[in-house]
Amino acid sequence: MVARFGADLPVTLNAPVTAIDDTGPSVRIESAAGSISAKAVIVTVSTGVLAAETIRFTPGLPDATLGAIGNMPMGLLAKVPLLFDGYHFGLKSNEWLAYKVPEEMPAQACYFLTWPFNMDLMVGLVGGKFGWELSAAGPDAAVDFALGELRKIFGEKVDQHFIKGDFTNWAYDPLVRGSYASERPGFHGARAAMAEPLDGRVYLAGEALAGKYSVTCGGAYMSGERVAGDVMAALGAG
Amino acid sequence: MDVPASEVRPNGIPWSGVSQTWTGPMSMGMDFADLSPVDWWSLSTTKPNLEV
Repeated sequence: MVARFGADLPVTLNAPVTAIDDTGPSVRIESAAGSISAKAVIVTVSTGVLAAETIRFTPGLPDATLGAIGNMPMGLLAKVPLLFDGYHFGLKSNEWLAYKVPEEMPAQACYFLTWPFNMDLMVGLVGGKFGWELSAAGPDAAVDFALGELRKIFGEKVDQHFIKGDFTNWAYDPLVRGSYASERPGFHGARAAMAEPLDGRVYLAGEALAGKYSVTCGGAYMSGERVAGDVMAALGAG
Repeated sequence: MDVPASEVRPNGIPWSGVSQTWTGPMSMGMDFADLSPVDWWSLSTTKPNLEV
C-alpha cells in the first residue's frame, strides 16, 4: 500500500543510511548506495534504529533528544498470517477471535483477525515480550504456536484445512527493530522532547512524533508531511 | 502519576487477561508492566490498523 502510494516519487531502495554529517556547507549523507549532499535531511527511522546507533550523526544528536529516544523503546505487535483452503470455521469476515488468558501478564496469546476482506487468511497477532520471544524463535515456531491455539478451539479441522503460514519479522529487521515506539512509564513527554527542532539542517519525523496519531502508518505520513513543510519554509521554498 | 499499567489494574475482574492483552501487547506492543497509561491515553483516539 505504501509502495503504491509513493509510486510516482523518486525513491531509492536498498540504500540504508550509515552516516549524516551536518558540519559542512551541505548535509552529507552516506548510504549503501553511495554519498549524496543536500540542503536538509529528514530522518524518519524508528526510535529502535536511532537507539541502535546504526546511523552516525555528526555532530551527535543533542542529549535531550537522545534521552527522549531512550525513553521511547519500540513495542512489538507481529502478525502470523495463516492461509486456509476456503473453510472458514463458521467465522465471519473481519471479526476478532480472542480467548481467555490468565490475568497475570505477559500472557502467551495469539488473537486472530478472521478472513480480512473475505480473504482465506486468519491473521494471528502476538505482541509484547511474548512477541519478541516468538520472533527470536522464528517463523516456524510462530506458525506452530498460532495453529496450536486454533487447534484448542477447532480441533483437527485446523490441520485439515490449513495450507501455509508466515510471520512478520519486524522485531529483528535491522531497518525497523519493532513495530512502533511507546513512552516508558514515568516518561510522558518523551515524544514532545524528541520532536523539538534540532539545530542545523537535520530534522526528525515519523510515527513516534505524530502526536495523537502515533503508532499508525497514517500518523507517520502526516508527521513527515508536516516536517517537510517546516523544511520548505526554512529553505524559503514554501 | 504515570506508573506502569500493571500497578493500577484492578484484580479479579472477569476477562481481565483478555482486556490487558488487547490493551497492551495487541494495541501498543507492550505488556502492562512496560505500558504507560498516560501515553496510551494520549493516543486513545487512534489505534494501530490491525487489518493490514
